[in-house]
Amino acid sequence: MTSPPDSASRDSAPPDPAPRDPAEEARADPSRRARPSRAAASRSPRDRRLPVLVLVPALVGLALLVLPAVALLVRAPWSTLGARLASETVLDALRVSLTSALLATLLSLVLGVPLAWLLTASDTWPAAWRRLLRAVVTVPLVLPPVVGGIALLYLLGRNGLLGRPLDAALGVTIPFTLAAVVIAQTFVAMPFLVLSVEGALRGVDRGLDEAAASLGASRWYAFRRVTVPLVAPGVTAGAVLCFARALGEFGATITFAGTFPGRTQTLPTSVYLAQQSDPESAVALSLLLLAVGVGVLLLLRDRWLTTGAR
Amino acid sequence: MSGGAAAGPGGGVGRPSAGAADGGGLLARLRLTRGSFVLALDLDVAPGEVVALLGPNGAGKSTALAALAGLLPTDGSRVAVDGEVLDGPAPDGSASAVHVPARARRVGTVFQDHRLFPHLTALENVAFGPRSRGVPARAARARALDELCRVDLAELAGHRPGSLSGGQSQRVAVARALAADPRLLLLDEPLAALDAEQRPAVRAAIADVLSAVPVATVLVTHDPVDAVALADRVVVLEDGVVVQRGTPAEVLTDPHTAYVASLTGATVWRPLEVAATPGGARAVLPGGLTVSSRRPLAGGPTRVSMPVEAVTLVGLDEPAGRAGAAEVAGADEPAGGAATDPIPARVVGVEQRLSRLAVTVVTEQGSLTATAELPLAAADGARLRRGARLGLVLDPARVTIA
Repeated sequence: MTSPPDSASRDSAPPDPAPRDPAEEARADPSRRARPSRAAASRSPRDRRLPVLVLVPALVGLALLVLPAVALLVRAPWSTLGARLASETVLDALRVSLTSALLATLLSLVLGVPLAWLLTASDTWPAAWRRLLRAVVTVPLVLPPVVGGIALLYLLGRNGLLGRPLDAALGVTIPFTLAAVVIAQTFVAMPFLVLSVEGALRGVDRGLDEAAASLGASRWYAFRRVTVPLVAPGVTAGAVLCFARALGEFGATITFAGTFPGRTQTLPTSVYLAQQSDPESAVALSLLLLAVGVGVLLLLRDRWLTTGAR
Repeated sequence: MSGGAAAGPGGGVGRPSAGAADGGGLLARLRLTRGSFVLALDLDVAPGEVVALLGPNGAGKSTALAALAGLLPTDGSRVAVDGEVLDGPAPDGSASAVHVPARARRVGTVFQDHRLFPHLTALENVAFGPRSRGVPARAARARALDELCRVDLAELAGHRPGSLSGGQSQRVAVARALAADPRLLLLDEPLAALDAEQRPAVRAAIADVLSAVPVATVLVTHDPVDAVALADRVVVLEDGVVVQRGTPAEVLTDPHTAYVASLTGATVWRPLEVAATPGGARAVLPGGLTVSSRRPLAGGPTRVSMPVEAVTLVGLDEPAGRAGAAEVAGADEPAGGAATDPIPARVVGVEQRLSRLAVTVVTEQGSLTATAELPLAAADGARLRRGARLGLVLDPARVTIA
């Protein structure tokens, strides 16, 4: 079975530079003895290094993601930052942004959670219908937001498909109002929530419903005590993502809602306008948005950690 | 086995008599059709009694449990627990049949994959049943703690399922099912998903709990050890049909089908004809072999069956047959040794079972398969190699002919 000269030479060899494990494994498993050098080499630190062709582009990519934020921090007008951020334009934009993004998130929850439920229920549909539904839900993810804004204008604008009868019958005009901001943001941000909630719904084991029923739980009690708590982290994560996306929305908002200060001018649109007249203010506003973005990221990470699901 | 509370009128006689006669426990006449699969299972379980439903994969065990739990539409089945009809024709003869939904049946289930609620602690999981029936939180938690104590897990009450081992989770699942005060308890392969080293503890916990709680219990398993350790009676299901009923010992020592025989290494053959003889019974087998038994002709399906202890292997080629027999078998001669001549057979396989070797042979005439157990010491030499020629000797006192 074991060849004495071989094992003798191994045992008497000077301390192996490689970790002890591979050597022992090779000894225990004769079939691996034939190429012990390879088994050892695959564990050595030198071999674990990434190839240059992977490492260099990866580092450049990292720089592309990080350096702009660094530049923003370096060029920020730190001395006048407080005054600039306290200006009425900025506070108005902040107020509009927070209000509209919150409303868009609420609207997305009200419409998006049922939509996510519909997506999970569509499993029993014919494949063509199922794919169509999924495509429709995900279109805003790939559509340039400006195009979304134009499309909304042609639907809800004063001469739009729905906008004209709405105006004629009720005297309601949507474009260039806070409602338009909310609708534009919802259009762009809701898919994030839908997909997140859909994933959470799919993650809930149907067997748990059976278990709850076998314990005597009514449907409502099982939904409240089992389904809702299990889906809640996914809904929260989806809502936070949705809020962040709504807060940063620019293209659809500016085309569909315009930039009326105090009414439809959000932080991103005011950054764009300030960039043309007062670049330092634009930097200050950008810092504010960056801070909000980082905050959202922290919130999400915290949420994901505390659920224990991941 | 079933403690004083369970035995009731049985008094000193430990286990309750077969079946639920007067309304207590489970009375089930399951008749289900799913595509080409038909399940026909009559199952009566008295309060405090444990019936093991044994069968190969696809026999319909899980379908039967799902039907009892109320998770499947039950066609023309009749199910009653403690006298209450859960499934069956409407009492007034109208078209709408009775079907009590799962949540209102008070039928507890322990699932193979425990199905604990991952976001609740062990205690909250166990309290779920009482809480969903409206028991106040404090009382429900006290009850849950009692049940956790019963399965020896009180110290893990605050743990979530994610931090429990598979065996601990399954014990919590047992406690959770009992906390809901079921009138019928269903155990769906409760040990199948566990590592071998976790099984004994969980099996013991289930045995303790079952002996303390007088609830009618149906245990689905494909492991005969579960049936022996936990069940009062065994019902064997194959292809949706009951092929054998009896106590664990009856079923395992007198297998009616090849499946049951395969569970313990027992042997069952299909004889061409059987007849009662003055001293017992006699069977003619394929290949012109005859086997005799000193037991009277038994009832049930036509068969020649024997537990593994009834089978001995002897050397054929040694000049002194008797000496060879002792050497190979390493065991005493069967009582009345010379009753049958050794049947020539060839070894087809050897497996180790704890301190014994299970040797499977096929007879030269008739190609009948039989398994004998030999001590490990018999392994030396070429006697047990595949193809080796040995003599098969059956103990007529332990062979059943029917």
